[in-house]
Order: sequence, then C-alpha cells, then structure tokens
Amino acid sequence: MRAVAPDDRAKTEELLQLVLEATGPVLAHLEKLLADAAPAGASPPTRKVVYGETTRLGERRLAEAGVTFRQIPYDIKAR
Amino acid sequence: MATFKLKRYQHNTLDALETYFRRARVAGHVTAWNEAMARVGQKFAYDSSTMGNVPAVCVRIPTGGGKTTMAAHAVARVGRAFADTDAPVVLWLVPSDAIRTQTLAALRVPGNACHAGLAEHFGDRVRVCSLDELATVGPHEVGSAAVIVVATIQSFAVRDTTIRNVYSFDESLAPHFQGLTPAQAEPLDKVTEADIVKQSYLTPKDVGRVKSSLANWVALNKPILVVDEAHNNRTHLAFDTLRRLSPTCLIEMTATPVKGSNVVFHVGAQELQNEDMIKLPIVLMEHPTGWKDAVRDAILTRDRLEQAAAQEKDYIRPVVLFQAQPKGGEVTVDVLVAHLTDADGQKIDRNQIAVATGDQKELEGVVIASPNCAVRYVVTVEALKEGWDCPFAYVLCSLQNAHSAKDVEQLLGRVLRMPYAQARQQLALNRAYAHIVSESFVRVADELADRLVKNMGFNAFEAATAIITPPPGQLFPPNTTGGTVDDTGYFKSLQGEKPKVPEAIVSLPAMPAQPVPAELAATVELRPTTNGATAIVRGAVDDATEAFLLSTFSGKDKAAVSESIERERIRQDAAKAPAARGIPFAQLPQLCFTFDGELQPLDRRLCSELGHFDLFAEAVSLAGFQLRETGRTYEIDVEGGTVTYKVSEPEQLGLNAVPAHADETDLVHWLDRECRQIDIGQSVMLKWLLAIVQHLQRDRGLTLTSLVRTRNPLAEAVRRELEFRRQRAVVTGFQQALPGLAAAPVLADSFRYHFTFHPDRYPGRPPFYQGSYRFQKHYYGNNRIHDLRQRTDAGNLAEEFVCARAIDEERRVKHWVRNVERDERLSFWLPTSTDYFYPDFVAELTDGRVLAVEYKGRHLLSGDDTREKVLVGKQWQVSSTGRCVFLLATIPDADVAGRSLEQQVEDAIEGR
Repeated sequence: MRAVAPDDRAKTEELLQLVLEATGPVLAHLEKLLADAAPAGASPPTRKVVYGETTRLGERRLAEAGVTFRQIPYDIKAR
Repeated sequence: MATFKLKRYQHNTLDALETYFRRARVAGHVTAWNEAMARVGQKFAYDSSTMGNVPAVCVRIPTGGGKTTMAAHAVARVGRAFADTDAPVVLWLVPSDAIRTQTLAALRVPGNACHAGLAEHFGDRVRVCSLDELATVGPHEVGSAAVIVVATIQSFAVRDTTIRNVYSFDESLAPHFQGLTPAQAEPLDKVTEADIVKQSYLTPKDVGRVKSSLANWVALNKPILVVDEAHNNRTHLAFDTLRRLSPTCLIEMTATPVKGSNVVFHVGAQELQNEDMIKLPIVLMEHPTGWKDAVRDAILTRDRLEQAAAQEKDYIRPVVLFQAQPKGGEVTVDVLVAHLTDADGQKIDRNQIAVATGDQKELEGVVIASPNCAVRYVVTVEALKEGWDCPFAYVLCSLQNAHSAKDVEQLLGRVLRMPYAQARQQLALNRAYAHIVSESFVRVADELADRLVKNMGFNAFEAATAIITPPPGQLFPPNTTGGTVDDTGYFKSLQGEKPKVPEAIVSLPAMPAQPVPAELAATVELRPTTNGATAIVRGAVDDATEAFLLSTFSGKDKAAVSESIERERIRQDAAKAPAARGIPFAQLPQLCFTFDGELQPLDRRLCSELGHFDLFAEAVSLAGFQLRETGRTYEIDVEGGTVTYKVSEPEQLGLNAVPAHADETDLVHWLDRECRQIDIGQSVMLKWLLAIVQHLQRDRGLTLTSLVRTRNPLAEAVRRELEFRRQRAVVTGFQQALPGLAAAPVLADSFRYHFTFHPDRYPGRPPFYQGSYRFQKHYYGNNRIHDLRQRTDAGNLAEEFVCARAIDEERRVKHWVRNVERDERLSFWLPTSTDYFYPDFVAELTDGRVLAVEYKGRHLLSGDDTREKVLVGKQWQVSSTGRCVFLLATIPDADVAGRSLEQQVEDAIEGR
C-alpha cells in the first residue's frame, strides 16, 4: 500500500477508516487508491495486505480481492 | 513479517486429530476412534496390538504435504485436548540422523513454517533440543515451557539397555529426579549392578536408586510421542521401545502407513495440488537413446523454464537434479560433470554445478533461494542426505536404471515441491519434469507410478494421472514463452483436440502362447521385448482383450498383468474425462445480495452483519460451561461426557504456565488470545470476556483459581458461545436477506460471483467411487467420484447412486459433478441460515443451462433443514431468468407423483 505523506490530510483520514474496519466500500476505495498510485500503463498490485481491527468481508470475498487480512493488534508482533 | 497460513487440508487434519484426542479424553480411545471412522465413512477397527491402551493414531499424508509443520501444530493442540497442558513434553522421533538435523533446524529457525507453528501456540515458552542438549533444560522449565526433544528412534532402540547412552546414568539430569513421589519413581529404571560395571563412578550405594538417565527423564514426563515416517520403525523391538517410554499418546505422520497403523485421517495427493503445495503432473520423457540425450534435454527443459520464470513475480531459478550412477557404473559423477563442462559436451560453467555426494559437499552453506547463487545443476548419486532445502528443483534427470535406482522418490519429492507454495502464473512452472534413461522392457512411467504409490502416499488413481508422457517435442504446453498463459488459455488450446482414448500399453512377462485372436487383431498388437512382451491396445481394454492377455499366465504373473491392465484403464478413463480434455464447465451464478451499495455473494459474515451481530445484545452468560468443584477435583461437562481435573498433582505442573497469582486481567487476556474473532475488535472482546469472567464468579460462585485451572475447557465454551451468538445473528440476517436474494446477473463486472468447477482442482477425497457401473459423463472421470457407493451394506443399489445414474444417462446432461461438501472454494454452494448448502450433484445441460440436484431420502424430506434448502434452491432458480434449474430428488415412493428418479430429472429439465 502506498505510504501517505503526513500533509496529505484527506487521504490519511480515509486510510484510518480502512484501518478500523475492512468493508466492501473500503476495499473498493483501496482499489481506487492503488489504481491511481500505479504508474501509467502498469497494473496495480494484485496481492495486498490490509491491517484492521475487524473485517466484515468473508474469506472468499477477501481472496477474490487478493487481500490478506491481518487483525490489529493480534497479528502485530513485537520483534 | 512472514505469516504462515495453514492450508485447508492441514486445518482439517489438525481438527480431526484434536477432535479424536478430545473425545478420547472423555470417552476412551476406542470409542473416539469409532466416531472418527464414522466421520470419514470408514469402518476400520482400532488396532491396539502395538501400543496397547496408549492412544496411537496415524495421519497419512503424501510427500510434500508439510508433515513437520502439521506435527508442530499438533503437539500443542493434542497437549491441550488430551493432556490438559499448555506446556507439553514431546519426544519427536525421526528415522535418520539427517532428518533429525533438518527437523531441529525447521523447529528452531524463525521464518520457518514449523517454527511458526510452535510459536503460534507457545510463544516463547518452548524449548527445542536434541538429546545431548537436554541437560540444559532446567527442571523449572518442564511444565512451564513446552519441551520438544528431537531424536532418532535408533537412539532408544536396543535390547540391552546398558549399552546405549540414553539409558545410562547422567549426573547433569539429576535435578529432574529430586523429590519424586513413590508413585512417580515406581515405574522408572533403577541403577543395577550391571550399570556399576559400565559406569565406574557409580557405587554399590547407588544400586536401586532411580537412574537419572535420558530415558527415565522421558518416561517421567510422559511425553506426547511424535513419530515421523514410522514405517521404518515398525518392528516388534521398536514398539517395545516406544512403550518403555510411557508416552501419553502417539501421533504418527507418514506417507505410507503399514498394517497396524491407525490412520485417523488421510490426505490425498490431489488435496496437496489443490492447495498449491506440489507441482503436478510430472511431465516424463523417457530416453531410450542414451544418457547424453537425457542430459541434453534436461538442460534444454531447464533453460526454457528459466525463460518462463523471468515473467514471474517471485524469484525462481529452476534447478536440475542429476542422479549419476554409483562408482563402477558408466556415468559416474566425474563422467557426468566432465560431460557437463567439456567444450565438446554441454559447456556449462562449473560454478553453476554443485556436486552433493558423500565425498563432495558443494552444497554446504549454499543458499539456493538467493538471487546471487549461481547453482543451476545439482549432481548426486543417492538421496540428498543433508538438510538441504531446494525450493527451485524443477527437473529430475536420472541416469540410473529406473527399476533399481535408489532414492528416486526422495529426489522426485524435491522436484514436486511448489516454490513458495503458490501457484505460478506460467503453466509450465506448475509442473515438474523428469528425464529418465529407459531400459528396453519396463515402462518408466509404470515404475514411477509404482513408487508414487508405494513410497510417496499417492493412491493408484492419483499416481496413474500424475504422470504424463507427452509426444517428443511437446514437452511444454503451447505458448509458454509468449506472455502469461493462464489455465483457461491452456485449456482452450486443448479443446481443439478430438476426444480419443489413448492406447493402453500393458507389459507382459512373456509372449502369450496363442497368437492374437482374429476378432482382436485390429486393436491388439504384441511386441516382443528383451524381458517378455508388450501389448499395445488401441481403444479401451475390453473384457475380451483382458481375457486374452491373462490367458497365458497364472499366479503372480497373472496378478501383475491384471494390475497393469487396471492401471491402463484408469489412465484411459482419466484422459477421457471432460476436465482432462479441457472442456470448461458452465458458470454457475451465486446467490447475491446488495449491501453497502455493492453486489456481494451472501456468505456467513454478511449474514451476521445483516443480523447485527453484537456480543452485548444479549445478557452476559455462559450456559455451555458447567463446572463442579468437589474437594480436590473439578468436573466439567463437555460434549458427550464429563472431564475430571485434579486440583494439583506433582506431575501436573502445567499450572505454572499461568502466573501463580493470576488475576482476572491475566485470565481475560489469555482468553482473548485463545478466542479472538476476525469480526470482533479487541476492545469489545476484552470487555465482554471480563464480563463473562466476573459473571461466573459472581453469579455462579466459581473461584478464579478453578477458572484458571480449567481455562482450556473454558476457552472452548467461550468459543462455542461466540459461535452461538453469531449464529443467531446469521439466522436473523439470512431471513432479512432472503427476499432480496438473486442469482448473480450476467454482467461484465459480476463474473467473480459465478462459480465454475476448476478442471484441475477437484476436492473429492478417497475412497472414490468403485462400483461396477461406469459413469460416462462425470466431469472429473468415473474413478474420481467423491463419496458415492453403488450398493448399500445390505447389497441394494444405493439411492444416491440411482440418482447419479439418472443424471448420467439423461441425454440433455452434457457433464456433471459430484459436488463435494464443505469446500467453499472449489465446490458450488448456496447460503442457508445455518450453513452453506452444497447440492449433491451439479450438471451442465447441452443447452447451456445448469442443474443443481439435491437428493434426500424419505426420512429427511420433511425436515426444516430440507425446507430451507428447497427455498434457497428455488430462489436461485427463479431469480436466474431461466439459466438455472433446481431439483430436490427423492425415491419414487416418497415422491408426490411416485415418479422414478429418471422422470424427476427429466421433468426438472423440461420445467414441468
């Protein structure tokens, strides 16, 4: 996922929303961000990792979107 | 951060093991066994001849299935389910020293899936050691951390226990034997006169004392035994040895179980392929024209694969494994290497070649997976003994005689492994390649198939279809070098080919005494070979042909020919199946619901969302947890029985895993870790768990100590409660959604909500259909039909079979699939309020429509469950604008109009 510059306020908020709960619209929004961020002519990445507290999406829907879901904080391990 | 997700079959296997042991704890291991058999539809009796009353079960899994990873997960889960401990002592027995080194590394090195398996359950509280290192484990660690001792079975197996180190007195282990109770000391080995002779520092005073030996340490701690590939160890002596270790239970992991192993779960090779663990098929080229041709073609194959690999996202550098002949042979390692590097040979740079034999260890310290590594060719003679992991092995080139070559399966196992356990985009990279020098008379394909069955855990059918022998020049699927070729593209290219039955080639031990009878002359041709004869049969091997081929032989020879014929029939049948010919199955629309402004397939999570799944919607309670404190014991009711926990016994030190003064917060956090749910945030979860724990103390009068002591069943009860609550939300959500459900429309952007059967990925599991009736239109072939029996135990035709036959014989059915339940990825399902509904049969009709058939016997016809299935099925049909047909079929007696099954199918298709 593209890193968001701190001054890019609007997008930061949107990504925060994504972090709270992975839902269909959030996913669609993520796809759009990725598509916008991809260099012209290149296809956006097909496999992505989404971090969030919960997800409303089923395994199958996640798999179709190429998303590996990691749950905060359980899947964040201090090294 | 690398995370390792277990594959579906690994989940299923672990669930089966855990369920078995949980039931064994309550109901005894034989009852648990019978229940486990009932779940998989088998009837084998439990064999207690080897381990007596110690539960001993086996998991059968083909080479390449991730045995070690699964065992790493299994010890934690079985420890909990059966031994009530979070910190089990495990003795992990392996067949050889090389595997011991390999296993130790896999369990220890972070980043390895096996290590991750342990870490997931134990965190840092785990010690992995060899026997020599056991002295570094302190007595306080036993019981508070899991202790996993990896050893070869040979270190224990001996008749005279004084001559092995594990049985001798070892001062450094003495602290573990202090303060034993008489009951603990009683079964342990004592110092004897013989020991004093061997170990001079022991004095006559020591005679009769408990010997502080490795073996006694093991016996004292009643380990969970994990046995890796036990078939090498199945001797009487080995079992004496194992029993002497007083294990709590025994788990065996093997590709090739032998008689007496209690196979509690069987994973088929197809399942490994479905989960991208292995590359299949094996593309085999036989080289009758000499070893140099085999070498040349192996190199060319590798070069082509490297070109294809350049288009992959992950780094892959395909590697050839050469198996040279042993000393004294024609093509020894030296001869081969010379040929590979010579100016008049293959002119390969020597640094691309690594020799790995007993004398030359050029692979030591080499990281094959690194892009900086130059190695593209590995030359060996026997197995690659060292713990060498080669993720990129793609081509096996054996220059030894296929019949007598040693360790071919070990090398084949290496090339079968899928790099990164993920399907490659280039089809050519999803396959394994073998170039093998062939001697005149035996077919190499048969030899390999035989080895797949005998040593690698494939069943006969899987083995027969796992090997393909393309005509020369067609080693690769078409168009591999031009861009991405996905499966669909490849299968399209196959459709042009006419369906034809490949010829059968049957090896005979001798030339038949009679000539080919006139009526068979057109289809059967006999060719003498140096060691008998070969029969080439054009078209299917019919009964007359079989009778002729068998006529000359008797005894063993006859059995061998008969086996060869059966294998050829399987191969022919498989090649004939629509899936093998690349015919796509029609797309089946899924039932969808518009939610959040987006069309989505209605799955469980969406239902629970619609039903407003909220933990606090109902009063805090945990009805499923019944705990009685009676003096020194706790009794807990679990499904089907009562488990008794003793308050404290010296050997049950598992308590230490939780701090002695554990408070509510510790317990709540422990439960949170155990019961996490992907659709519940941690803050909500912690709040609810705290409420539960307080409720149990306040309203049910349970003490915190007892809750901590019985935390495993408590966690289980909490998980069940969560599931109940979610289920209630799912029912509500489903009922809300039902009127709005619609089959996915035919639109460009709704393609993902259509399901289709993958030509290469059928989730059916053995035992497959074996009836005498041969189905003609099963999409995956007659020999790969999941869970279908022609006759019942009483010998009558099974009702489901009759239904399948009616579908198979209906002329408007193009092809059909026996739909496999509980595989939401590879099978077709419709949502219901309780679960997914997998119709028994799914057919594509010649006019392009699809038909889903659910069969129900009379006694199930009127259930609520059936009513809901029919409701959903009809909704699917009605909303599909004529594309889909749903039929609830039943026996004629129970049908309202008394129609036969054939008639019911026909009427459904006709829309009557």
